[in-house]
Amino acid sequence: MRKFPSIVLMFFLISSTMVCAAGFDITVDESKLNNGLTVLIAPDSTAVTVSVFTFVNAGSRDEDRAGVTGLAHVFEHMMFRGTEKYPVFSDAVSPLGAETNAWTTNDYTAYFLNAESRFLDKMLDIESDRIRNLIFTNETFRTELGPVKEERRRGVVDDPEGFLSVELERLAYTIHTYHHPVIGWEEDLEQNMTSDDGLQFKNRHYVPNNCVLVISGNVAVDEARKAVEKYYGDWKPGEAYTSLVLPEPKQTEERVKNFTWKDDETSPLMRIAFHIPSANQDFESLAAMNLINEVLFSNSGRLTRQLQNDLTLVESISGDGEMRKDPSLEIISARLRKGASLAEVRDSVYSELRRISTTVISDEELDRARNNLRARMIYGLNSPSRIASSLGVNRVITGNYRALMQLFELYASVSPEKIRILASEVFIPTNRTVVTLVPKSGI
Amino acid sequence: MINNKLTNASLRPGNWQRRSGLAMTSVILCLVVGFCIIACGPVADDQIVVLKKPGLPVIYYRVMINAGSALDPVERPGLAYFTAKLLDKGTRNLSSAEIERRLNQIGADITISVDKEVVVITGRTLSENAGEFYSIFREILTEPSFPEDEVRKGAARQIDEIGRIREDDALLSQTVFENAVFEGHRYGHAVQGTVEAVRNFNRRDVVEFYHANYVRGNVLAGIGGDVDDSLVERFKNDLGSLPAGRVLRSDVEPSLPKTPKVILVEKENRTQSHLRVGHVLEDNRTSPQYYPMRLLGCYLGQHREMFGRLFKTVRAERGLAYGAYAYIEHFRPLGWSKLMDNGIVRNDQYFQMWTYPKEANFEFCIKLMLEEMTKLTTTPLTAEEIDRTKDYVANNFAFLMETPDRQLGMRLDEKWYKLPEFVDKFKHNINRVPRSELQTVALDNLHPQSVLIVAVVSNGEQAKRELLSLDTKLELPSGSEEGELKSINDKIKGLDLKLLPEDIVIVKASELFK
Repeated sequence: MRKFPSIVLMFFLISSTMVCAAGFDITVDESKLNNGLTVLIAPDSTAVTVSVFTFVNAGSRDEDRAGVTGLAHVFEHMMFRGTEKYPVFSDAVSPLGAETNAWTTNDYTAYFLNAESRFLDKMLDIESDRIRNLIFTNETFRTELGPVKEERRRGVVDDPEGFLSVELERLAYTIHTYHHPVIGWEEDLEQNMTSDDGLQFKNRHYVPNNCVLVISGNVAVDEARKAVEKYYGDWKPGEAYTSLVLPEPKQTEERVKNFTWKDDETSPLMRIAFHIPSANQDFESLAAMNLINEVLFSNSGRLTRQLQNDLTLVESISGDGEMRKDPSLEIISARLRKGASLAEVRDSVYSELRRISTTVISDEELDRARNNLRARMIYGLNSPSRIASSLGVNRVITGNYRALMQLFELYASVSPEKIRILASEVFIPTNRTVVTLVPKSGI
Repeated sequence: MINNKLTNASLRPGNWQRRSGLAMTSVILCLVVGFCIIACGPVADDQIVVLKKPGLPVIYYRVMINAGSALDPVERPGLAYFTAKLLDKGTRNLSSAEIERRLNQIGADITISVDKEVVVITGRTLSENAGEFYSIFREILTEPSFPEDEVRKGAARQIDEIGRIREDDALLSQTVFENAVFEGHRYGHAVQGTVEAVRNFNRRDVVEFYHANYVRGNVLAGIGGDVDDSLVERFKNDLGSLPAGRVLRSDVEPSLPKTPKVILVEKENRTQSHLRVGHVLEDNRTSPQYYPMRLLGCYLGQHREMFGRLFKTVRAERGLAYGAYAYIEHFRPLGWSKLMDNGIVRNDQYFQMWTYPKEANFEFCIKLMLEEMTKLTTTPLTAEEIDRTKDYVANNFAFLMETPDRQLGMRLDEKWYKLPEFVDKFKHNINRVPRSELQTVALDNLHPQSVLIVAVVSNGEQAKRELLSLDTKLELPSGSEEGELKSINDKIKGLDLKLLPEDIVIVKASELFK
């Protein structure tokens, strides 16, 4: 296998990103304020910008009461409204030339503000203010539900790919809150949700002891620490919340559902999902599953070559095992060429999954997968924003930002046999959920 | 207004089909010249950008070739795209599979994108694999072989891509808008072409197009990141091995209609209507009016930012759509970023507003956007509004230059437009725009009475009736109150789009791009 020694050296020379022999490292100053706020600071004197990420350890997974699906995401929208000090958030940040946005996942909600590093103090002022002092009325809450519903129309109701992804998780999870989509069910957005729900969600989850603040870029650690203490130090901690999320029982039989789309402009679609361990339970398995996906679905991967390049049965095919707090799904997504047989594609996928479960991957294929994954991790660290995002996601999902570096190392060390065993445990029919979608007039 | 467009074109009057004949003559001439004068030595210094930058151990390549869809032969729309997408599907020494396998082996990647004017080939590799990567990259650029079986597969892939335009309403509305706003112009067809044309492409078409257009004078190139001098020299020399020549072509000037025109794209069972409203612009980035126009576009609707007027009126105040934006140049986002991608360089540009409300609100949103556009021409912005917009545009520029690959992209775009100080003086030029100039520039460039409106709707006839009737519907999100906006909403509803039945065309999505 090709080694990465020069990466190590280069990192050491250019910034605070450094090494150990087996991988790479990023200098991170981790601390915790008295109120429980976790703070990660990753300085890089070569950058011209600074990135401030706020991770709230709550996503749609934490919508654990009836009638409030989509609330974490709706609340994310509300965070861009305003406070007494900064009544219009966008007017406060736009003079900085800042990039700002947010996203909500099943497990967490992330907000970011990126700007030239000279604006760090102002950025922390604005970010700390909105997370603590956000004001909204029932009227603004209901108005904001409008864009959320339009986002849902665009991403789910009128989008066959989005629709099928929602239906897949609805079928794969029965009692765990991963059953419902981040965007929420229509009836909850339309009828059930109130501004009181929003307020309750905020008071429960938007507290310092449930948040991680990440600062990356051209900052001095001591100064950044002082600024964080200044703006977040007197934020009052919240009470510990006991989650009502129920563990998903082991799946015991295959689940299949077929859909017909509402027009003829889509291609046939297929999603095949398998339950996989959570990142917290088995981090090595996450690395192994990512390697499997490379072997099968990279540009030169087995199934890409066979189904997309040689047989031209699919327009695209991919595999993804998302890193989540609780047991996640490995999802294989195929977009078929019009006229191609769903059964033929499905059987080819199953055949390859059987092969990877019974025969260890060759050294050449595995080296290729390892190199590709590790290179992509390096490419992904090319800006303060990307570094802050990577550190924060790993911190909130696994509890340790170093999971990022561990994953890099694991890509090199996971054994072919470990990969085969994982495949043989995961890719079994009773652990499988399949959804398909065909155009209105059929294939 | 100063028209300082970069063009290789003759500007004599005449229809564009005749001009394309002239262009083809030029192409053939260049082809002949290209074969006669095989290059020796490196490419000219003014065609290459080198940005050595300490940082990650990564090398970035970027090659920009004037071989975009504007050079498609009239009877072969989509050929430029087709040719470009086959570059990495086989070379003199490597098969498509071998290229993929070797790139994956070293964790490197190559992407090819195609727009109206240019094809952009980018490459990225860890510097420890510099030599191995470069040997592949060089072959793709200078020695593609266009194998017969890959030509066949490429046609199937491109036809699939045309299908995806019909599937995605945002892309559908955008493509219909561009085709119509540039009707009769070389930009007036989708870069992917039509199904019929693509089905008939053969290897000979591709080889001819490649030899005619992938010539030295058509190329700008950049290399950046963790590079050394020997690699730079090799890169320059290899680019110099492309045949000599430069392709000239001619265009008609796109023109503004005197009255609004509406295209209703009928697609069954929509719940949301993608709306595109705008018109061609006389100028592009090379005009001094670019800077005030940039400020106006940002103020009206910076892409995916919340401070734009459209965003505030459509979304924040009324909750009618997820987004509402405005553009003064063709815009393609860089992945998930809000920033504009590089390599979208165009001689001819358009102004456009975009939103996607619930279908019931499509007419109201058209009127609301037109009202905001009109206000720019009738009501001066306040000093505070102008200063805040200037601060945003100037300070946000750091992100356009944040990474080595973006810097390469910006520098090559600058070269393409022949604006050598665009990057270095951008902030200065933004800050020196006089406040008093904005309204004048808006009056010169924005023409609400001459817009093209494209709307994706479930039922074209019904939508047409609604546009022609005196009633305009408005459905606010359930539970929200109209409050003090009622009088403004009533005014918006009462605006007259001045449409006649013959101004409205209905097309079926399923029949497009065939």
